[in-house]
Amino acid sequence: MPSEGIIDGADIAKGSLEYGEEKIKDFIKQFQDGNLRFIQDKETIDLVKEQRKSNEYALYKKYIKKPELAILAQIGLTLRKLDEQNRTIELQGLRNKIRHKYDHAGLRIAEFVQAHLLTELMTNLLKKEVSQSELSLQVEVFLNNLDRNSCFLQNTHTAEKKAEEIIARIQSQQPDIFIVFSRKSAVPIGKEVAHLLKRKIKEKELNFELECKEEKTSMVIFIKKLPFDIV
Amino acid sequence: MLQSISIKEWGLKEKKILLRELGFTTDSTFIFTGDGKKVIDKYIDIPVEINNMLILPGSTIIIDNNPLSIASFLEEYPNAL
Repeated sequence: MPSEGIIDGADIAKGSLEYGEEKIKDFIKQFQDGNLRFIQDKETIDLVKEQRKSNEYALYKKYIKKPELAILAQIGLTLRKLDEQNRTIELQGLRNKIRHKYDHAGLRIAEFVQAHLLTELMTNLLKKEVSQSELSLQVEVFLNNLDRNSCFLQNTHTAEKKAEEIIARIQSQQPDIFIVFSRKSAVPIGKEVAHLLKRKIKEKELNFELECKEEKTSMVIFIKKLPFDIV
Repeated sequence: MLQSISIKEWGLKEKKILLRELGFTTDSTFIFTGDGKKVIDKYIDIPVEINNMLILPGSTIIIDNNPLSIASFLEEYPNAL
């Protein structure tokens, strides 16, 4: 049986506690023996551990080897969970901490995961016959160049202007894959941009193809570079 | 078996005893090492506050109780929580 105030596994002692010095020393003895940890609440730990048990995290772990990217992928799943649960204050607090530690670029990677885009990207890349190490490299290079290789549309954007911008970017940067994402009220802009991109790629005879994936409240456009001999 | 105890509801007095016995001090907000340096969460580079600390065994790791620090800790020690 666990001793007073200590739990094993699922439950954690709560309540206003007034332990005597001897009791605290007893806890410290257990801590120093490696048998006890002092935590705040089980919920925050469980929130993180739950994401680590998900299939998406298993997929990420298989291909993402750089620890910093693995943490951002993991924490992107946590952002998503907080968002789904409308835990706005915690969501903002976590976003601030990500920005503090990893700057804007890190936050963009976590948001990319939050928006399901990393899973979409990896699923898309897995369609090709590539080795695990090749795919790992592609994913890590993509994430490290996220701002160059992706565009998040907003409902204030003008479709024509954005489509022109994207065409200019893919022409100058020649990415293997470029992702355009729209969500909720920006989805109509996303549809219009997809239509315009298709037309412009054809008109300009660019060696890219478009693949669109529309969900209930979001839309992803993959712009993929074709081998030269296909054009 | 590694067990957990929540110190969330502990009074300041109990937390001070806990920290003292582990070789730390506190000004009731922040935590300091034996040589007076503020304890910084090594994963997110912020000072750890007494009301939001996690104390983890091994080499006595004190971190802030937030998902990013916990995720980073678990990345380093996958089975430690």
